[in-house]
Amino acid sequence: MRNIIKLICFFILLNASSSLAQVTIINGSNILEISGSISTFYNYRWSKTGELDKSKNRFALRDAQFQFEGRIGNTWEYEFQADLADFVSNTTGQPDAENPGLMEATATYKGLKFVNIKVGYGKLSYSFQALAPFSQSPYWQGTEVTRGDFFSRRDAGITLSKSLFKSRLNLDAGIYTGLGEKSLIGENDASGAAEYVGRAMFCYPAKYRFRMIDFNHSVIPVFEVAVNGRYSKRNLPLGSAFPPGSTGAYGIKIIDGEKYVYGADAAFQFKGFSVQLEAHQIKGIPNDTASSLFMGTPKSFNKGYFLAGSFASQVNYYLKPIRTVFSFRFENLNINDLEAGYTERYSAACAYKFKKANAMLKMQYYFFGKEEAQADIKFKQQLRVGYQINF
Amino acid sequence: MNLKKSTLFIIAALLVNIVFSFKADKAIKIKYSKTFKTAVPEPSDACLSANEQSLFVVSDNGFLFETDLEGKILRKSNIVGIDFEAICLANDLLYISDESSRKIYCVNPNDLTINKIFNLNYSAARNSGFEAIAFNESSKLFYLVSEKSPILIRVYNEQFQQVNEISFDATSDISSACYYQNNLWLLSDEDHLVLQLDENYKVVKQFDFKILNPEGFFFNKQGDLTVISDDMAKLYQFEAATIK
Repeated sequence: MRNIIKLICFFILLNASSSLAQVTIINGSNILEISGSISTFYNYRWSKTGELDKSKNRFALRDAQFQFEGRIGNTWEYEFQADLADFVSNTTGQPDAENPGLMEATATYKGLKFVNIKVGYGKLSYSFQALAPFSQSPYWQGTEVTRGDFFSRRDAGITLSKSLFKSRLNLDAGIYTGLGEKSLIGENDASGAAEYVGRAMFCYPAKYRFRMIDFNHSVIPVFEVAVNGRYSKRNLPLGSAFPPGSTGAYGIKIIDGEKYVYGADAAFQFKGFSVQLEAHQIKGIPNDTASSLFMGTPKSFNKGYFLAGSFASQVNYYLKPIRTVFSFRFENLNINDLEAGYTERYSAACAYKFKKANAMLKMQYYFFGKEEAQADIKFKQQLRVGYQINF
Repeated sequence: MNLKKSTLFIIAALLVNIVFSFKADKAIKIKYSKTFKTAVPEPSDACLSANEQSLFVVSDNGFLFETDLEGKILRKSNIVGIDFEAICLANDLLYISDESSRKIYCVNPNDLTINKIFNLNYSAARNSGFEAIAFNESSKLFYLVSEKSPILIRVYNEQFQQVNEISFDATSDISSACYYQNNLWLLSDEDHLVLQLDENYKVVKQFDFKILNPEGFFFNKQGDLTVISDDMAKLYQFEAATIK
């Protein structure tokens, strides 16, 4: 705990020396912006009785990112974003779906008036929580369901986008490998199948940006409601398997069979106060009636499918005079309905926004209310304190 | 330093921060009297024509429109920029700031064609370029203001040679500028303020209003203020009597 206090004091002192360094290079109608971010934290976990592994109590470098964003006139836009910290950590273990190393490598064609076309590897248009940038969040970790073990956050493929009614209605649809972050290995799984993702978001009375915090203290109430869905059907040939690590911690990120994911989210902001609500349900229909995803239950009980789901609500307030965000989040997660129980997690976050830099001192604390056996949680509470700067 | 003293130190530091962060609210609250919807997509700034019978409005997508005083589109220019963010009338010509490309388009208001293009150097973030442009008829100087990180007021002569640069930190951002009655006026989107500056670029008056995403503003000869909202695509008119 004393380390955390020393860390906070150190970060407060950083306020005086921070500065911005985004650079734009222009060559005719070619415009390229170079930017980046660094974030580092101290993490402390209160272990359960008998748990001896304290390896998660540590200082860590979360991000060492650089980003190139460019455009060629009004026709093309491109983006390349990578994280050196994750490249290093991923060489020693499984890629972290929330921090996969290569974060974005996309090109968008805007030459067609009726639709924009984006190709490459990048964030999928699914879930407000997943689409809100980390740099604008007071939290160090996203909601559990959007961290990459239930569905992918990024993938390679093609996305069609259309905004209507002055950006009040935004429609996205795309086709991807379905392998998510593992698509970077360059090959599909043996099924050769794809995943289809779509999202429709309605905003009123003006467009709504993917921001958790109302830093600008919106003078009128603004809200968004959205529905999104994903579908894949994979038939693995006998004897073949998915690439290692591609199925996620609970084996449901991709499945041999049909997988439906439905979700809805709503967000609201007014005078510094903001709320986000989000729910997801996953329906998996494994090809193999003896699949471990049926948790050993007979077909008469499971009816040939399993469900997983999550609900999250988050309330935030930005106290502008002291440049500080206060946020609370509740999550309910059910990894598999064929096994009894579910997980509840309560989080609180506080973030101080520095004045002369795009930087925040962030603190997130959470504890579990209820625990599902399959979640295999080895600790009771966690505190993470750290600093992020975007330059 | 033990744990208890460290905790007390942090709490004390936060309290000091809170006390010094709360400033007296000096802004005068003003209310608009009329609003007009415009069909211009994502309007980012506007200025009055020389005879004050129409408006020239620029949009985020790099388009220039002429509208009537209530925002109804009269004609659209063939000019296609990238990200038009500011416009002003100077010496009977329109000057438009293309924020991303750091270009100033000099446009003939009669046929809405390009007269000349000036390229400026400013290497900060792509979307934090020159968001505001204003012209002082007396000194024949242009004022270009960067949006944020940092906010810089750059002064240029008529050939767009830089003659001065002032750092400005009274607001979070600047979204528009206007020269009116021998004062430079600035608009802040994030703080919802119109600011009147003196010759030393100090704020002498500030007006607070409730408009979402205000991106542009101008005064007419009677002193009425018009503010343009990008997200709402609306014009909001304030009577001159409220701007005192």
